[in-house]
Amino acid sequence: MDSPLLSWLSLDNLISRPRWQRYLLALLTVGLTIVIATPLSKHLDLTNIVMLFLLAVVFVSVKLGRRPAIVAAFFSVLAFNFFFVPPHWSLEITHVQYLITLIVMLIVALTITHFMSGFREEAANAAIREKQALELYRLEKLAQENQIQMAAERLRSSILSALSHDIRTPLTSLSGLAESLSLTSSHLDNDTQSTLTALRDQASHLNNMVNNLLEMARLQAGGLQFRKEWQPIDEVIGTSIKLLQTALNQHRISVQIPDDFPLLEFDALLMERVFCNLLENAAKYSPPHSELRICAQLLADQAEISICNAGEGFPEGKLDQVFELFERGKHESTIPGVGLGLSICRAILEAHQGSIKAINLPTGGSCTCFYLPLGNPPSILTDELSAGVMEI
Amino acid sequence: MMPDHPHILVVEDEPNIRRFVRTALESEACEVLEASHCQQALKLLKQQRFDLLLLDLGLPDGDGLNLISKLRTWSKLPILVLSARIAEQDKIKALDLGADDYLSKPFLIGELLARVRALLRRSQPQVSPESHSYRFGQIEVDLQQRRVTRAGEIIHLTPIEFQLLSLMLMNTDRVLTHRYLLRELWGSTYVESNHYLRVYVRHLRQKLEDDPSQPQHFLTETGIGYRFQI
Repeated sequence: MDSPLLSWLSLDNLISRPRWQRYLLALLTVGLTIVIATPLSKHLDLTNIVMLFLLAVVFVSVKLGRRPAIVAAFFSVLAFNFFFVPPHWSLEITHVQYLITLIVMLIVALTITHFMSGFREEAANAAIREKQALELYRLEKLAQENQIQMAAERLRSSILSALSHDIRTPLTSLSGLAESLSLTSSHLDNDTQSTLTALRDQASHLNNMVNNLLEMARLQAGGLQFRKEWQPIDEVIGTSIKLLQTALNQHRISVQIPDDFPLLEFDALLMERVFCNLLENAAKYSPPHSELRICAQLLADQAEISICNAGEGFPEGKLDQVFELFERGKHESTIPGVGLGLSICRAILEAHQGSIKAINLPTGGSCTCFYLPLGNPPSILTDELSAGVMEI
Repeated sequence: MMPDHPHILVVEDEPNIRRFVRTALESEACEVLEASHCQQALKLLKQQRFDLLLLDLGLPDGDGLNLISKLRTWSKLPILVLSARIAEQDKIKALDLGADDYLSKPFLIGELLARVRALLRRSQPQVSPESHSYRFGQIEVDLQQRRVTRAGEIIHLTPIEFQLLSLMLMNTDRVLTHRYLLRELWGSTYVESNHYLRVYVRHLRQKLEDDPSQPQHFLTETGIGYRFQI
């Protein structure tokens, strides 16, 4: 039913047609009125014929607008005079009363036109106002929802930072007081000394776990603000090794990264967490004095960073599951940990459009390898060429 | 060189932390005064001379950051910030306002004492006539002659590398924020171009560190900046 002809003829939206079409339609309406009125003129008074023409003018002014209606009014008066007022087929006016009829007809037609187009404009304005009000309402609602969401995020992050402050303060006291005991008494026996060391180490473990938990909470809350920047990966490797000094002091560490390894885009603090967790894990599950290897290499469109140890490896058949939350290689193992570390690594890497996997090496030992997209690092103009200037 | 009995003000609201910090500092022959809030600290700072301020950022009667900016209007007293805050922004703010170094809680006493010693050493006036020459590891740097050598052999540095090196040497043991270094080296239009700085630090490490991947001198303060240590 939606043929172009029908839709062209449809009476909706005539007002939006091009101007020439509207004038043409106005004239056609007058013509149609003439065609309808001619057979009726034998049975009707001239005053009723006038009514038909006025009806046509009303139609035009409602559907086609003010100017086509004015044109229709003048043509109606001319047509009425030409076809229906005696003498027929002439514009001549023989009787004064017909002149009055014609003048009144013109005035009425123009008045109708004036009021009709006024109403229509009013209606159109009302429609626009309604639309604007609706739009405004929608915007306001959107802003409100946004505000609620922002407030919720602020609350969440302030709870997390308050929590982290409140946990770290007693932790600081705990490890500090334990350490300071050996400063006050000069002669502590070996047992007491090792108790103090254990206290300090456990506090540091606890701190690590708290870090992991808070980071995971922040990642899962989704409101975490990333500070992704282009930077060399070796910088984070260096700081991670330094942070883990005590945990790694039983191992040899070798780092192999090409000097010109491209910059990668990541949040340094989060990537530091990834390295700390992977290194700590690699050290925990390998014999003392063995080697931990960190290598970086370029693949087609991503960088591969692997951390390998000489341990007995991940349990076969569980290689994919080790990154699940609270999953541990060996249940009830004597090695401390809650299985949070690797799942955080995965969450962090996924937030960087990267991935992570665990493999057991055929030659013994195992690796965790993670991948970061290479992307388009910014070009850097160095002053390398002018290096000779420094020579003295 | 350190002052004989350095006077240190510890501003911290948690009494247990104040207690072990005092114990640790007194074991190094320091004279320690304590304050638990900003007002008390300001009063003490105006009354007498100190050699070092240990400052917790989250104080009950106001922000430690305010204390730093107030103090910096009249004093160059070295400030070591103790902070349990995870937001790096607060540490950066503290450093930009004029703090010299920071330590994240929880910290080891050894680390605390090392930082305190370094800051006290720095605040002593340089008496050596050769203060423009530095030595770390096998590297010798003569800032006046713009000369860098490893075991007597000349190492070529680009002009910017040399500028960065001298900036870090002159601020040994201080944390320099990315923003500060970028402004000093490239001007204020480049303060957001952290990657430039990182690339130049990498060059310095490759040329001057024994093992660039585990640097001993050009240290990274993740998310904040760099620190040079001898």
